[in-house]
Amino acid sequence: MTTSILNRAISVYSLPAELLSNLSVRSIEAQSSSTATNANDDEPSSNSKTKNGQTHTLNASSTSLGCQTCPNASFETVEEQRNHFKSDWHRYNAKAKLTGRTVTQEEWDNMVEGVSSISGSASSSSSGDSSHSQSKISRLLNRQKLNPTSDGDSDEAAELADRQRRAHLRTAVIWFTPTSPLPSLSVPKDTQFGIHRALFPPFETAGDYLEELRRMQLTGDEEEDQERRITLLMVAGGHFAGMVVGIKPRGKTERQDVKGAGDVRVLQHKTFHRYTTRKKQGGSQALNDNAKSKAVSAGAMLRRYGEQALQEEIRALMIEWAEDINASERIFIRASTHGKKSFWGYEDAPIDKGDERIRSFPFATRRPTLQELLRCWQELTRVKVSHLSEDALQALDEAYIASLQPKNKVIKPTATPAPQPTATPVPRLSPEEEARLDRRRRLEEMIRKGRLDALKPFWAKYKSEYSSLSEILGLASAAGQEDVLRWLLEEERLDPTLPTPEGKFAYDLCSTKGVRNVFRRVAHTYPDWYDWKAARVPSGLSEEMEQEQEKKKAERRKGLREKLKEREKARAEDEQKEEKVSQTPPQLQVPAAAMTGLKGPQKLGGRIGGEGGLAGLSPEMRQQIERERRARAAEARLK
Amino acid sequence: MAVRAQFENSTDIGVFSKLTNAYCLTALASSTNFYSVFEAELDGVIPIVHTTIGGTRIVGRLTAGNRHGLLVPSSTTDQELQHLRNALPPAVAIQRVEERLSALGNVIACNDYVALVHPDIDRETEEIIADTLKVEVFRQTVASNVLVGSYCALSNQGGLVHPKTSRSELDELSSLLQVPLVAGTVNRGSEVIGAGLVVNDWCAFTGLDTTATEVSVIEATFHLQGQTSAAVITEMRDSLIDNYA
Repeated sequence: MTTSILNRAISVYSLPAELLSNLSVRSIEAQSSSTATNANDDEPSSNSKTKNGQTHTLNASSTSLGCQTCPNASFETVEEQRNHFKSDWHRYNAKAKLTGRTVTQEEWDNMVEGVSSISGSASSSSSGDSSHSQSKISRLLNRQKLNPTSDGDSDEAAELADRQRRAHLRTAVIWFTPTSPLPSLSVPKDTQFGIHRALFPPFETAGDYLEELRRMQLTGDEEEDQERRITLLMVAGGHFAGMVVGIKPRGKTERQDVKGAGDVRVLQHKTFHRYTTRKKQGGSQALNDNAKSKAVSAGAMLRRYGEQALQEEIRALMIEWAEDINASERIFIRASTHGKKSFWGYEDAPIDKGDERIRSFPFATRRPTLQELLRCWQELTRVKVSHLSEDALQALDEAYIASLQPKNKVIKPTATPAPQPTATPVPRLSPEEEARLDRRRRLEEMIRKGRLDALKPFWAKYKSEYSSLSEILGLASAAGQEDVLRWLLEEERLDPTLPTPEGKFAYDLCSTKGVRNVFRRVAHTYPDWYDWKAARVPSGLSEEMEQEQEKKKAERRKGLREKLKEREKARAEDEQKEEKVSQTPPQLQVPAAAMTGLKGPQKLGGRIGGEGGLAGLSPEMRQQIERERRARAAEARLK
Repeated sequence: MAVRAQFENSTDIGVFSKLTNAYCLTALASSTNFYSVFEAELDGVIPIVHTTIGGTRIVGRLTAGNRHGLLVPSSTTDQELQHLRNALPPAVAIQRVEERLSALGNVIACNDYVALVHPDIDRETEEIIADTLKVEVFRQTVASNVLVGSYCALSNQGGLVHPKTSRSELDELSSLLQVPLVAGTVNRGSEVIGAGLVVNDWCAFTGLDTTATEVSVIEATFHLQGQTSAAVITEMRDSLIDNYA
């Protein structure tokens, strides 16, 4: 039998050639890229529209009352003008004027709408309405600052970027599937191979990933492979761990100075620890100093020194490793914003902040240690294997897309209908339909909970809405609500002979005997209403019949009880006999009742009550009893 | 009546003093020459207070006020606040303001009825200004400068603003302030009006470098000599506007 490659860990960098040539990317991206282009298509139209809207017309005449700041503002009276100077629109423009981006009344209204819908809830500050508007202005200005390149249509641009970003459906892992089963490698049909996206450059289309994966493989050329390496750096809580790993696995003869590294060729490794983290409170000293005033405790001094020393040590190490780091294909860094200062932004720093090779670890990592780095290396460079059927994958994809959809809708309510068939658009309901659905839900609940009082007026009002009355009847019988069912049958005269949409009869759906009896009773009282046989109701049930049944049942119960009593009596007699037998050895004066009471396994030392009997005995008797006990214990042990 | 003065060889007297209709603040100097100039004009009329604000002498730039009140920045010490409370009339409300833009004199320009303020000032500060100084507050710029306090001097009679203020902007501002405004300079062409000039309803002090023409514009603008601001245009036209033959 051929050994399956799935039985051992496969490195991302040395996939079997046969597998590699038969792979295809199984990613939702392939579908979603089309939506991205779609979004691009409709951009220019919206763009041009806003630009047209932004053309400013100058204030017509200087004699009429106007505002220098706000375009197209004119007023009848001085009061109006003065009020305008206190309006939010003017306030916004007073600030926006400095950057040369004033807005017209119309644009302002649109902006404000956007802001209020984003914030969702009104601010609860003491000054109420006016301060709310003030914060609106600052929020608006902040938003403008965030996208300085795009003027006016910044909203659309941001929205578009967001949509594109989401459309990519970025997952941490890229999945590949074999195009055909590979019996030679014993790869079964439904197998997926997952590789961390972080190992790839950021690609837009799915096909690029496959090409890059092929390019990533070790060539087998000794020298070239020797050169390839990846750097892993972690700093957190005063711990630093760094490692440069050769992509080519370690040969058997090569020296390895890291314990437990296996075939990982560790080229460089180093860990430091300095005391930087505030005990019990957590967080770094620098953060605390920035948040509050500078702490002057001895501990704070130590930690401040520790932070500085750690940073210096890391920087020195980075410079020392510069050659290895420069040769690395990827640099994985785990660090806080503050911690990243150790890696770049100083003289001779081997890493640049905008370096394309830098990645963060796409999974949670623990305290920076060498072992953790090794674990991360394994996690990153081992191919994940899963066996899921096509349907299961489809379902997963759909669930994923569905989980993204609502947010998308909030950002852009008029989003173009997604072309992929996976995301089925939910049909919008008209208000009337929604109300009807709601009423239906309420009705069902009333029936299920047996709220007859509420149901009666409700039913009178909305009876006409329900076409399949048999369904209602079925619901009542399935819920086991006898009162509701009786009312429906007798007062409302719902026809039990009609089958429900599922092709069942209401009687079949009965969940309890009580409800079945309701049907039978009604059938007995009004045998000529329907063809009860067609409604599957076996026979009518009259009062007398019921009483008779009750009586029979009572008799049976009585008989049973008597039998039980007799049996009890017999047992008691048996026990009494046994007691007499057990009382025959006279030397054992342990109370008989206590002995007979012990039904369970006999415990060493007997019951606590039995212990009292020993107290009043002579020493010989006691010894005898003790001996007996020991013997019994030994016997128990031997068993 | 406009009086020329200088503070220890600096002509920016608006930096070192604050003048309102109810009180005058002057900085502590090595000599009392500066104080004496104010004393000669105002003694017995309104209190003149020697003070520092947060230990500095730039009292004019750090404070803002009118006859109803005085706003001081958060850097003001308790002793200084107590000193001001003791020295100023009880009708004047003194309020310490927690504002990021702490040079209140630079960001607030006011008379007894209206205040122009920096567009970025806090909402809370705006309310304090309105309550303490009993004024209507407008966020405005003067000739595209946000430091409205630096670039204009206001009284209840008139106002002098940055020389590069456009006609339409002058119109707008004067309709806000309800006083006539004139664009002009002090201290031989300095555009920082607030720094070169302190003024109330009946007297003005200006830097020693201020020319006679500038003084006459100031007197006409603030009605200090029984003139109206119309005089700036009618009577002073020749001296103000150079005609190249």
